[in-house]
Amino acid sequence: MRNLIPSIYFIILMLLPILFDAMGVVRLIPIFSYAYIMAIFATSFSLLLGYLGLLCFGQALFFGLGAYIAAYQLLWLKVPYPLAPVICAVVGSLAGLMLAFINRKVFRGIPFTFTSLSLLLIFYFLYRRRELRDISGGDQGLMIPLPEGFRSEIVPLISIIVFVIMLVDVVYTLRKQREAGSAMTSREERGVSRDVLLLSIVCAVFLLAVTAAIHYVASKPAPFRASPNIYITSLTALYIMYILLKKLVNTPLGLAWIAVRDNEVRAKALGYDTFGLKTIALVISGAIASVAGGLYIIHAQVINPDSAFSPLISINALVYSIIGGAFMVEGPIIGAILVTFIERYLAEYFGGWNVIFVGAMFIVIVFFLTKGVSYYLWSLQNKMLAKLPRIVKKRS
Amino acid sequence: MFVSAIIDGIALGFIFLMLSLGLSIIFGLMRIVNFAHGSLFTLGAYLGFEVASRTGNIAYGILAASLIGLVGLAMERSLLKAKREPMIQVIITTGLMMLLDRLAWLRWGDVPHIWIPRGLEGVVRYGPIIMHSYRLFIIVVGAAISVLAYYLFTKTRYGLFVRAGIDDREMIQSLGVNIERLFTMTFAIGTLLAGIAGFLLVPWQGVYPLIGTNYLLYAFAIVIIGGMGSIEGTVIASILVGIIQQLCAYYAPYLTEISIGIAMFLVLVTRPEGLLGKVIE
Repeated sequence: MRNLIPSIYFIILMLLPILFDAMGVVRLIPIFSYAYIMAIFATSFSLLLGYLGLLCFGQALFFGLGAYIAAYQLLWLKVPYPLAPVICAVVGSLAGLMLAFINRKVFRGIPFTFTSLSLLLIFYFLYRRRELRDISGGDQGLMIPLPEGFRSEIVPLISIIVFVIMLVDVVYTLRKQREAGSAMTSREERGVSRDVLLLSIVCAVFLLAVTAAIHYVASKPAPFRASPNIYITSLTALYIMYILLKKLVNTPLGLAWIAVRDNEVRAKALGYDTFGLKTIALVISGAIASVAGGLYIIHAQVINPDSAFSPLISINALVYSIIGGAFMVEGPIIGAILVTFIERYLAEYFGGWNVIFVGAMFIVIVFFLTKGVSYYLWSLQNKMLAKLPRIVKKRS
Repeated sequence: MFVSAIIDGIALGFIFLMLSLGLSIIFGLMRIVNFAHGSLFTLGAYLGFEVASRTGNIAYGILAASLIGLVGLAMERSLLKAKREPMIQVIITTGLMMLLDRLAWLRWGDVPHIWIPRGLEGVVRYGPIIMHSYRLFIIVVGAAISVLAYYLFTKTRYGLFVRAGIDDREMIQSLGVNIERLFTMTFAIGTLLAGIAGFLLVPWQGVYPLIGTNYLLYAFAIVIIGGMGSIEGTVIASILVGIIQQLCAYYAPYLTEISIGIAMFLVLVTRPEGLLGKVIE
C-alpha cells in the first residue's frame, strides 16, 4: 500500500490540468509546472541540508549552469531536447565534483556555505558583465525557442513508459519481500495479494488518466499544447527524481549520510570515508539541480543572469526546504508547491502588496508549523490511512 | 588619483564596517544569519533622508537613522525571541527582508533619493589630490562611531559578555548572565549601526529600495573574510574590501563586483576560518 502512495499522487496531479481547464483557471498550469521544477531544485538543495547538514548557498550555481548549458544546446548546437537535460546532469555533477575538490580541506559548516556562495557570486557577476552580453543575454536574456516536441501530443505517452517502469519496480520489490519472508502468516500474505489488487487498480486508473491527458492535449490547437505538455514533463521528472531519491536515502549510502550529519567524527572513527560520502552527495545534488535548470528554460523560454545565478534563488530553495521540512524527501517538494502557489497565485490578489503578503506568510507558516508543513500533512495522511480499513470493515 | 581612490576606499570601508560589524556580532553571538540586515540599512537611509532633507541638519538625520535600533529591538523581542532555532530564524529574517524592502518600495518608489548636506558638496584640493569633502566627513564620523563601537565591545562589561558569549554561549549562561537581554541588546546595537551606515551613504550614492540587499552581499563577504564574530577581523576586512572595491572602480571597472567574490573565494580556500577568525566547530 505504502509503496503505491506516490503513484496515486502522481495520477491525481496528472489530471490537474484538465481540472484547471474546466474551472477556467488555465494560468495555474504554468504556475504548477514552475512549482514542480522548483521542487526538483529544492530537493537537490535539501538533500545536502537534510541528509548531510551542508547548507549550500551556491546551489543556484548548478541551477544556472544547467539552465545556460541547456540554452546553448538548444540555441546553437541544436541538440534534440530529451538529450539536453542529460548533458546538463553531466555538467552539474562535474560542477559538484569541482566544488567538493575546492572544499577538500574544510568540507563542513560555514566555510562550505560561503565557499559555494563566493563561487556563485563570481559566476553571477561575470555573467552580469556587459562584455559577456552575447553569451549571457544581458538584462533581456537569451530567448529560447520551444522544442517542436512540446507542440505534439506524444509527451503524455512518454510518462506512460516512466510510470510502467516505476510500477515494475514496485512489483519487483513486493516479490522480493515475499521471497524474504517465507515464514509469512496468512494475514500478511493476504496483505500482499491486496497490494497486487491495488496495483492493478492503480494501473487502470493511470491508463485512464493518461488517456484523458492525451485527449486533453490533443483537443487543443498546436500552439496551446505547450503549457500542458510542459506541465506533464516537469511532473514526470519530479516523479522520477522522487522515486529514485526515496530509494537512495534508504540504501546504506543514505544511512551513512545521516551518520555523517549527526556525528562526523564518530562516522570517521567507524571507518567511513566522510569526504567521499559528501562528494557523492554533492555530485548527485549538482546533477539534480542542473536538470532543474534545464527544465526551467523550457518553462520560462528566456534566461538571464538574474534568473539563473542570483543568490536569491538559493535562498528560495532554503525557504522551500524549511517551510516544507528539510528532513524528509517530501518536504521541499511540498514546500515548493505551497510557496509557489502563494507567491504566484494568491499574492496576485494583493496588488502592490503581494511581496509583503508573501513575506508575512513565511513568518506565519514557520511560526505555527515549526516542523515543516510536510510533517503535518504526513501525520494527517497516516491518520486517514489508519481509518481506511475501519471504514472498509464497517461496510462488510 | 590613486590617493583619491584610497581615500574613497577607506570611506566606503567605514560604511561597510558599520554594516558588517552588527552582522558579525549578531551571527557570532546569536547564530542568526540576519538577512533583514540590509533592509534595515535601507530603512535607516530613508528615515535619515526624510528627517535630514526637512531639517537640513545632518546630525538630526543620524539621530533619526539610529531609531532603526528600536526597530531591531522590536524585531528581536517579538519574532526572533519566540523561535530560537537557527533555520526557522533564517526564514523569519528572509520574510522580513522581503516585507521591509517592499514597504520601502511602496513608500518611496524606484527612483534613487539623494540629499547633500550644505557645506559638504564640494571637493578639497591638496596639490594634485582631489578629495570629496563629504567622503572625508564619512571617514571622520565613521571613525568616531567605529572607535565608540570598538570601545563598547572591548572595554566595557557588556562587550566582555558579548565576546565571552561568542566563545561559549552555554558557559556564560551558566555563569549567571542574562543571555536573553544580551541578545536583545546586541541585536539592537547591530541594527542601529546598520541604520546609521545607510544614512551616511545617502549623500554619496543615494538610496533606493534594493541598496541594502545589494550591500548585504558585501557585508557577508566582509564577515567571511574577517572571520565570523571577530571584531578586529571585521575592521580589517571592511577597510580592505572598501579599498579593493574603490581601486577596481577607478582603474578596472569590470572587476568591481567580481573582485569581492574572488577575494572571498581566495580567503576561504587558504584560510577557511577567515583572516582573524577562530575555527568554528
